[in-house]
Amino acid sequence: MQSNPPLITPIPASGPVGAQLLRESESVGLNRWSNRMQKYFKRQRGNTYCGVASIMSVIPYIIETDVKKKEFEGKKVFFFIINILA
Amino acid sequence: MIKGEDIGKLKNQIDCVGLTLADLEALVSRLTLPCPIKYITAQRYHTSSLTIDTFRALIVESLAQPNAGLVLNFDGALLPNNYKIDVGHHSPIAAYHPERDLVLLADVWPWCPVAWHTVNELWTAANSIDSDSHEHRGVLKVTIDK
Repeated sequence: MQSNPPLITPIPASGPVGAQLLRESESVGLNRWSNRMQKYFKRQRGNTYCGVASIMSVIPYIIETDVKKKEFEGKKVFFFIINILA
Repeated sequence: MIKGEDIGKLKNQIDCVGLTLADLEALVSRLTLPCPIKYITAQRYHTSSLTIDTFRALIVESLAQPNAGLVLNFDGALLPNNYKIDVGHHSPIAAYHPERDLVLLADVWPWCPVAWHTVNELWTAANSIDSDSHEHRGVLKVTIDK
């Protein structure tokens, strides 16, 4: 049986690190970034939101998103409400 | 007029069906950004148009760009080590470790830790068919220019 993959601490990245995530880790720490995503998920559910959370992670100006389902012409549709840091 | 039974099916579909790689690209392309940013571009790369080597090169090249971000769309069921999600999933790629050919996946799902995976493992998980779009999964590259 294979063991779980190592977390970030055992292997510091020696190659290129994503710009936004590097900035996040420098300013707030990767743990806090992870907490932010967890907080986001507590408000949401379903497999749609991993895509939106991922976008939040790579676009630094997105500070918050909310996903709402609304009735539109008899159909339920998603609305992605994205707040952007101006 | 949609019948009650059909509304139930539709609701089920909305609850169960996630974003495909093309949906995510469309979402990012439609974002209106504040004035300091000139434009944002999103380009999707399905694994059907990549090899494992070009997949790796795309990761390395994109991570080196200060204004680019990568989101991986993959099938969690194909990742080893008892990965917690066994359906389609998205998460950003955070870093690459050339000596060990590992990629740091900053998983956005609370019960999946930020973890290193081999390029081969991620390639296998991404080189799968999305049952909603019937297309291969892959990578979304987001670029922002001020």
